[in-house]
Amino acid sequence: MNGLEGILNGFSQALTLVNLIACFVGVLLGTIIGVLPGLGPTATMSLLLPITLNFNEPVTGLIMLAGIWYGAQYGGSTTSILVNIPGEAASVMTCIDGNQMAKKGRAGAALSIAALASFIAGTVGIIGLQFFAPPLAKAALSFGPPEYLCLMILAFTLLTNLTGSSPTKGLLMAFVGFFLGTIGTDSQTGMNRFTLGSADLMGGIDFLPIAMGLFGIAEIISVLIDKESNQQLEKVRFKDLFPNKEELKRSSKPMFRGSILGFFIGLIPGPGPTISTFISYSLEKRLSKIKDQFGKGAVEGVAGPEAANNSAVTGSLVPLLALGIPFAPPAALLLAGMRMQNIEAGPMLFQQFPNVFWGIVASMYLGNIMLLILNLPLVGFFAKIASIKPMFLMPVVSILCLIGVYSVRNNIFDIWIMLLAGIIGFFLRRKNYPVAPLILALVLGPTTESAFRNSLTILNGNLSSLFERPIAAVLLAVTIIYLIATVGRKYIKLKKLNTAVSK
Amino acid sequence: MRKYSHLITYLLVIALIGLLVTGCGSKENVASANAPDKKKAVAFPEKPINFWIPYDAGGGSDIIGRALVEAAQKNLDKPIVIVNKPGTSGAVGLKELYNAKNDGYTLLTNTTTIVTHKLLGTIPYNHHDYEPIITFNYEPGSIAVPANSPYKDIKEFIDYAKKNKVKIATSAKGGIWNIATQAFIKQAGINADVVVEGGGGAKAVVMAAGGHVDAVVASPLEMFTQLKSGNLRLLSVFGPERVDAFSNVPTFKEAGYDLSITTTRPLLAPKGTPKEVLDVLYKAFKTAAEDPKYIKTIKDMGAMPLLLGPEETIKFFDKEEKVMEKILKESGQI
Amino acid sequence: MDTINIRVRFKEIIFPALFLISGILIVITAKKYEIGSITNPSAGLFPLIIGFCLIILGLMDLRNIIYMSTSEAEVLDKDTVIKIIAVFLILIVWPAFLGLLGYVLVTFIVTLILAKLFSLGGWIKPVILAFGTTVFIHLSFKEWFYLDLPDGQVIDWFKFLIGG
Repeated sequence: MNGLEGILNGFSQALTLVNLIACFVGVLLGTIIGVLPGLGPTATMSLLLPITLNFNEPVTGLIMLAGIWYGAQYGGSTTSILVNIPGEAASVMTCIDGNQMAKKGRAGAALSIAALASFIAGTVGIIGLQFFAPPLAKAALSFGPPEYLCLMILAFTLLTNLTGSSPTKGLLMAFVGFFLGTIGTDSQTGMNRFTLGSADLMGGIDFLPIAMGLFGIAEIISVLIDKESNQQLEKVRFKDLFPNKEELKRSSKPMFRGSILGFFIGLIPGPGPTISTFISYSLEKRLSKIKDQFGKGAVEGVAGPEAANNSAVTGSLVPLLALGIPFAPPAALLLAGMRMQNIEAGPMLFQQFPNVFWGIVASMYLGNIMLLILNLPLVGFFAKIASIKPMFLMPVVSILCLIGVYSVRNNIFDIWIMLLAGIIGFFLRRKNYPVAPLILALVLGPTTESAFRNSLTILNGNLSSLFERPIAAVLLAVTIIYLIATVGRKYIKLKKLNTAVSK
Repeated sequence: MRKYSHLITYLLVIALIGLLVTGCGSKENVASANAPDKKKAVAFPEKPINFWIPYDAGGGSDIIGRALVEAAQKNLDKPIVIVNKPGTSGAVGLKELYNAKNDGYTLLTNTTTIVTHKLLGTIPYNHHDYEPIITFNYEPGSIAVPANSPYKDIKEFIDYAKKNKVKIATSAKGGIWNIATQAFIKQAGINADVVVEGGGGAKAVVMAAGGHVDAVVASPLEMFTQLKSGNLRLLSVFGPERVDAFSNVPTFKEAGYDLSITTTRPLLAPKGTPKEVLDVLYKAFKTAAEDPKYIKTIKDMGAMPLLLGPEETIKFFDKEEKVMEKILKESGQI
Repeated sequence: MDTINIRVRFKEIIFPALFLISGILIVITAKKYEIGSITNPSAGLFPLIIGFCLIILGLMDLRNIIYMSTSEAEVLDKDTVIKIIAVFLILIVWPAFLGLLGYVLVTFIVTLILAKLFSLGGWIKPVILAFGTTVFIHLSFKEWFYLDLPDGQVIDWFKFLIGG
């Protein structure tokens, strides 16, 4: 079946009533759980998986499961923008500028840009999936632990430049995050590390309690301090709900760059959406002419990462469908759904079950349009939430933080972690320590450690042979060039400053 | 006040959407409500049953567990909710089950690690500390190499590995395939580094499929896609008999070695769960494990069916404990 | 003047000092876990590296703070501090009493008190807000997502009292 025939066949399936409904239910559920903190696509897909097995056509259930997954990426940014609480790791970067925009009364614009970015990224991702899945999947396999390690080195080099304050503080927080990631039972040896004999700590520290504490609880306290925020915000006018021309123009390029970047990062193992957001953010910051705006409500800082995390999800469908390899927990559930209906993902999928592949691809085009139509009206609704007085909003937000954290593992211990992180986060903020690097490092730490240790074994302990592997060498070269450029620029700046002073 | 009334309206709208979706989504509830009301001595289940899978979603235990739940759902009036609780090759889940309420609403599937964890000292519990309901499946360990490797069979691989150091990828320490790998290295007398990935065999399989290591030890189920798609080649199976899905691949015994490691999956409830409740669960899951559809599903994936009752399960794992102890001692792991 | 300066400085260096000490502690603890060999690294290696990095970065941060002028965050007045502590205490009530009171009661109470702490006037508005939140939590998390929220021991006592 060639491409055109395939996609037409796909649409003929996706456009049946039952599949359209399945797609809609999927993306609607996805949007809702994306907005609610704590509940993620994994838990919801796991809950609905048994139901999806009962449809007549296997593709119906898979369309619904996939819809939940990419739909959740749309909703994920909402709480980040409105109340500075990232519901998932991939929307941590959106908090930085998105919430600043909301504080300036541009919540509607930020939300619209996020929805638009998600739509464009989703579509770009599907185009990639449709045309390049098999060759790209092979490329994904060549990404072993050494390549992953080099990507992480690059990513954390970029991270130092991420937030406004000093690189030292950023790196310091990243290493605290790495340390928190090592707490618990070591995934390779089963050894208990830094658990202080506590059974709860054996399971490790989850991302969400820390993120909710450092962002959410800290935000609640800052509202208490900031008395002026208790004043009624300006009434949101209809035209304020949507981005103005300048904002649209500024965010169009970041959206496309983020889409392409996210798609490729989605192909590789590890938490792709998360990595893609902060690489996109630092890329936009680097390319921007108004660097000082970043962290103060730059629309590029919302458009880029939001596009990246959405296309990363689509990107991770490539190894899933073309190789049968799930790189993320939701992908694993989708795979489980396929295998339980005896649909084997992998190269045979295109020959044996072309209907399934093309049906999912076509439904994703439709799903993304549905999400855009669903989300744009919601912008008005959510933007009003941002203008609700804190005295109404904050109690509800507090409860949602508590229950959201509890919902992840049904564990009260996680709530204590969140409250502790809240206290510490409050002081960290006052001392200008950026908290985003800490959270990102916590999420990426375990995979980084694993890649590091496995690289040592695979390379016989000789890290210099990283340069013998083409992909790894390229990534390291980019890192080195970046470092030289950054240091060089600082040096030039200092020199200019000195000459100016001496004159 | 106006703003405030907005908030309530919005909350109600969200709640309503939730209700609507629940109404559309929970087909099972409707089906079970219509199920004939059998006169039962015990009112069980009265609420959803939590079915814990102590491994990552998409792994071997997850897929087999879900297939079993799918078959068992027909026999129970309330939904069975699957919860993944990964960590330390199932030890985290076992520990939580030990402390869980013994009312029959919390069940856990496990693997042969139920005996090895205590032997290795990870956690102080084994199968005697729980109420087994049934045993529902087993899978042998197996070894595969990247498809472009020169070795055609296990003998050639062992010959090569005796002269050269090889890298073998497998699951984390304490996991059953890690034990199998150590035992294999010892038995075959080869020179190997073990590359370990946490969270089941899936990640190790990916590493081997990409050619980053020389071999991988996992179950045929976990390697299935990569074997079928030609990224990996199965060399040998560490089980008592050949696997249905790959009947042309000889067992390790056939190659002249004395090593058989399988992972067997029991379903457990916390100790002290009432006998009547256990009976209800036994009936439901026994019927499920006998379901031809379930048997076909798991066979097609490269796994093997097996059905043991509670007492047989205890006896089986008593025997398995001795076997594993011997393997662990001989390969110097304890 | 000098003493004030030293006190401000002391507040400034608490965090870098803390990171420094944590780094040292992590290095010491990591050494107890197996470091492994360079070809077969074990559980201790990565924490060891983290510990060293924390020490180095902590020292750099300390140096930056001592040699560079830093902007001090605004000082909080007493009322705000009391309010922050109160909010924290109320937030602690939720996890602490979840098992005893059950999620319905505890959610209602915590939302109600929080609303008052965020200076929502009167009693009718806070009660309706608390009620709405509780209903929402019940519907979405309990009914919809089967979240295992404890009903509370109070319910059991109540059932016992009415002879259920």
